[in-house]
Amino acid sequence: MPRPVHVVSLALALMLSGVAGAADEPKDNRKPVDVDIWVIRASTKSKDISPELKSFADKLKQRFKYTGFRLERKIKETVDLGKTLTTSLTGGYQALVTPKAREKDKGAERLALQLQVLKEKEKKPRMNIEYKLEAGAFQPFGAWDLEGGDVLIILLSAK
Amino acid sequence: MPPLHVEPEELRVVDRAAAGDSAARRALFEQHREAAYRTALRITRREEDALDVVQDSFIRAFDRLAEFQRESGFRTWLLRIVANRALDVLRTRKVRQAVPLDPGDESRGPQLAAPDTSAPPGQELERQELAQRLRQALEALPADQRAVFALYATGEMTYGEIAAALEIPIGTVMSRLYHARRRLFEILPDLATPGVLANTGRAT
Amino acid sequence: MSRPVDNLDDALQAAISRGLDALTPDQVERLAAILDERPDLAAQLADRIPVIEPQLADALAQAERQSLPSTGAWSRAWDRIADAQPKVARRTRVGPQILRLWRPLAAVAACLVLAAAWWIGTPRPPTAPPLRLATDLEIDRLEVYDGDTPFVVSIGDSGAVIIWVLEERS
Repeated sequence: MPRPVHVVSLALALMLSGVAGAADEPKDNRKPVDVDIWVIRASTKSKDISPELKSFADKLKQRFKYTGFRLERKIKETVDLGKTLTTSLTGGYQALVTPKAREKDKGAERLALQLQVLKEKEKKPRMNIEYKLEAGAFQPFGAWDLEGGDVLIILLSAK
Repeated sequence: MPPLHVEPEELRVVDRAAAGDSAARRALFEQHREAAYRTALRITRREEDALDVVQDSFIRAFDRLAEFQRESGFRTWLLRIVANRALDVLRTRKVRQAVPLDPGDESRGPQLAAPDTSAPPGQELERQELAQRLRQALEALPADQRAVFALYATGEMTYGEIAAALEIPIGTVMSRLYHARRRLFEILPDLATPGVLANTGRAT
Repeated sequence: MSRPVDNLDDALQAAISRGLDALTPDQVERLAAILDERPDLAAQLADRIPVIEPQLADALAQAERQSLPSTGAWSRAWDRIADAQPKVARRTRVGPQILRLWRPLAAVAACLVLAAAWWIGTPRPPTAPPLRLATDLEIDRLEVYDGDTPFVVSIGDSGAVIIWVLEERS
């Protein structure tokens, strides 16, 4: 039969671990954000389309002159709300992504984000945008000049 | 939903249009353009956008005639395309208006007709004033209610067809239509059937 | 004056027979929620055309008549639609020519069979699932480099847009 002091100690330990666990677990609307950036090179000189971009490329080709869409890299990072992810894209461009808030709108989760696109050695961003969108959906942005007449397009999602 | 009666003559024209017959396509355009325009105008509330929507919608419809299932009339199928294209325009406009891209555009608010003080007195003047108040009342409806109302106002579409056109459940059509009508009749009680506002708890 | 209805079955029948005005806002919301879950009940309403009051229809027609495009505007609209139509190629008579071309055609067919056999046998990368693009974007602030111009361009028909910055240097 365990001694009373052991039972009390065990009970205290269990209680404290529960409290600690609750304190460690962020509330849903403060939890870190998974950011996903796809870096794309669009070209008029090529017709190659990366398989993951097929449906997206079909839509863009209806509106723009570009015929080739190459997925150069994917960047996946987890970022705390209010913190900024800084990452290189391609061609000397950088993206700064700051998730600002999580919201619920009619039961669906939305995220407020800030995205800045900069070119190296330049002080002012080429684009600075604050927006909201549904969690997990990709938003396209473009298009910044790359060498050879190609352009940079990025797809950004956060959840 | 039971299949609706579709005019055989219309189907013949649609068949010829699907085969690329330009005269048949022109006939469909002339027969349905006004209904398409009115629907687009009710949703977008701008004449130039409405005309663009009509053009885009006919281009898309002719491109997709092979997909026309024929269980409803061509007009119902066309208005589905029109409604979705008009809502697309509204969404893009909402995004643009959040950020003034062109300072000149900021002054491009809804174009409301000024009262025509030179109009003949009496009934015609009353009708014109009512028309203007109705335009303003429609402008005040939220976009989702306006889209349902726009299709309802054709007087030709069933609850099921409106639901299919906007890809929303029938219950949602009913709810949005109810609220759209209620808002309109609160602003324009002279258009309501007597007693329509009774169930809202307001005195009639 | 419309008689208020007591329960949801009656509410649905009232909506069908007398129109939505027979219901209170609360009844409409509860009925709408049930119809969204019960397609069998929704089917009772599905083939009904909701009634529009003649005076409302009249006022709408009057309000819109002034906005209808002119004959010239309609004509220009048709021209643009017609220009967007693909041109249909004229058919040529090919019957007798095919008979003379049977040897080369047979050779082409053989090549196609070989190519198809190779394609079937070659392992291909798995098809990627389509991207889910945002359809409900809300922009709070947008700044671009001096001289550049941002556009919001619709892509597809689901409500997706791309923010496209046209650089002045382009």
